[in-house]
Order: sequence, then structure tokens, then C-alpha cells
Amino acid sequence: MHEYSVVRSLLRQVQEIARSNGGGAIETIRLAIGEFSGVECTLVELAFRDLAPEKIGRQAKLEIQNIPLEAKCENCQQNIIITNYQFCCPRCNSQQVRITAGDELTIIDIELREVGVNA
Amino acid sequence: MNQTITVNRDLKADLKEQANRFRQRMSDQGTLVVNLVSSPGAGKTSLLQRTATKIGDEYRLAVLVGDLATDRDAERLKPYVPVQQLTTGGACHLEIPLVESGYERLNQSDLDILFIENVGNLVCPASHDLGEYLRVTLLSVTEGDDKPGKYPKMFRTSQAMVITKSDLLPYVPFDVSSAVEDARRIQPELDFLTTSSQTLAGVDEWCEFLVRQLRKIQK
Repeated sequence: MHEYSVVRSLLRQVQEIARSNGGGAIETIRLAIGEFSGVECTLVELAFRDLAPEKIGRQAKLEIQNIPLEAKCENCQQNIIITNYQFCCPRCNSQQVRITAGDELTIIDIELREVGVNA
Repeated sequence: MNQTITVNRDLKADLKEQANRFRQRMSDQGTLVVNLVSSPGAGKTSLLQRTATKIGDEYRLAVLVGDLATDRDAERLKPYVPVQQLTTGGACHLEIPLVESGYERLNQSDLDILFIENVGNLVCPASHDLGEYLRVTLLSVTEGDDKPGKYPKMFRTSQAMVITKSDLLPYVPFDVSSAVEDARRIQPELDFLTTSSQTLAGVDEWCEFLVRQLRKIQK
């Protein structure tokens, strides 16, 4: 339950990015959240709704891209989707699987309103 | 026209870089950093007391102890080992800046093992790299043998599991082998040990395990 601190950090970082790109109002933030990132999307959205208006304005929207947990089998090289956290290759049963996606928490991009244009 | 700024940046990039730098620095100076995680009350502090009693004369140990509130654990450890309290002020986990500043306050660059006693919580600490070399999850037998599967990230990111309070095994329905099996479905390379801080069963093996890990750093 550290989504509030995640969102606080997100807002700090996007403010910085907006400032160094002309300072236009932030319209949209696209965030990738992996299934294994340790943060819960619903709680991130709640925290965003709570914290964002004061920090970056009411216009700002958050778009979350959910990333499933994926891995590569080190034994048979198969790319696999991990379900129910069973780290096991369905093809060869090997447990030597390396996570390739699903633990990320990444700011993909942000959309800024052109400076001088009113909404 | 709106302007799209491509970022593609890990939200925790700064913290991860700081953790990697700390890990490298500790390895370079021959200090084994062990992050101890568990539910509240699993016996992290007791195991550290026993560890310090056992190998504290032979090896230079220190503990950074994290808690939401109070310095009770730090007070418990003080008679045994140099300790610094890290108070999170309500946060459910430790982060690397807090750990690094606690380490600086210890003012000891010649440590063999630096233990980080994390906040009791099997969820959030799993997502925070503290620059440790080794993450060890403690699971007490009263918690139940079904816990690894319920907290997959914690077990996936750990290198070892210590099943604590083994003296209570006759009184609780905890099956050591099914707990290990459950955990190894998530992390096949997980080492496991069984200890009791009351009877001291397994404490020698735990200390030997630590010394083996230390030798990997101080080779």
C-alpha cells in the first residue's frame, strides 16, 4: 500500500518534465504498470484523483497501460505468460524462467497543452 | 495542438540507481548486506539477537532497524550489536535513502555484515531494492505454510527463506515441506533454513549460511 508515495513521485517527475519542455499544462500522463510491479492500478488511480488536481491541475488525466507478467524459459527459449505466479514453463515444465515484462512502473509519455492556448 | 513528450523512464530509476551504487560500494568494501523481511512478529529481532550472540565477536556486525514508530527493536538489539533506528513515520517499507543515511550514522566502514531489519510487511518491502546482496524472508510457523503463494513477489525476490519458531511446530498445523514446495514454485533457487530463537535450533546453520555468503563477497 505505497501507491500514494508512487503517485507523489510521479507528479514530481511529470512537473519537472513539463517545466523543462516549456511549462505547458499537463493534459495526459501515460503510465505502464506491470502486474508484478507491486502497485495496484485501482489504488494508483484513487491516489491520482486525490493528489493531482492540487499539484498539476484538474485537467490532467492518467492513462494506465496494464502489462501482464511475461517470462522467457531459459531451457526451451519459449516466451510465456505467467498466470497465478506459477513460474514454470508450460511447454517443458522447466522452472528456469526469467521475467521479461510485468515488473515495470514506467512513465511512457506525457501530453502537454501548447503554451499560450487556453482550454 | 498538444505536444507529446516521450519519457519512457522508470518511475523509480533514481532509487534503483542509488541502490545499485550502494550495493557496489558495500561489496567493494567487503560488507555483506542482508535485508531481512517478514510479517510483523515473525522473529527478525530475536534472530538478530541470537546471531549477534553467536558470531558477533568473530565478525563485525551492525543492524539498521526499520519501524513505523517506536525504537523498541533498536533498544532490544543495542546490548548485542551496533544499531541505528530508521523510523519511517508511517510508511510501510524502507527505501534506500533512509538506509544509506542510517548507514552513514553508524560510521563503520569495516563491517562484515550489515543487517537491514525491514518493516514487518510481506507486501511493499518486496518492491523496494535497498542495495542488499541478499534478501531473506522469515516465515514463522504460526503464520501458516500457505503464505509463500499468497505473497509471491516477496518470495520471488528473496534468495533464502528462514522458517522461524520451529519449537512451536508440534502445536501448529505447519508443514515445512509444503511451505518450501510452495515457495520454490515461485523461486526455484530459494535456500531454506529452519530456526528457533527459543531453543536455538538451527541458529548455528543460519550463521554458517551467513558466513558462506560473506565469503562470496570477501573472496
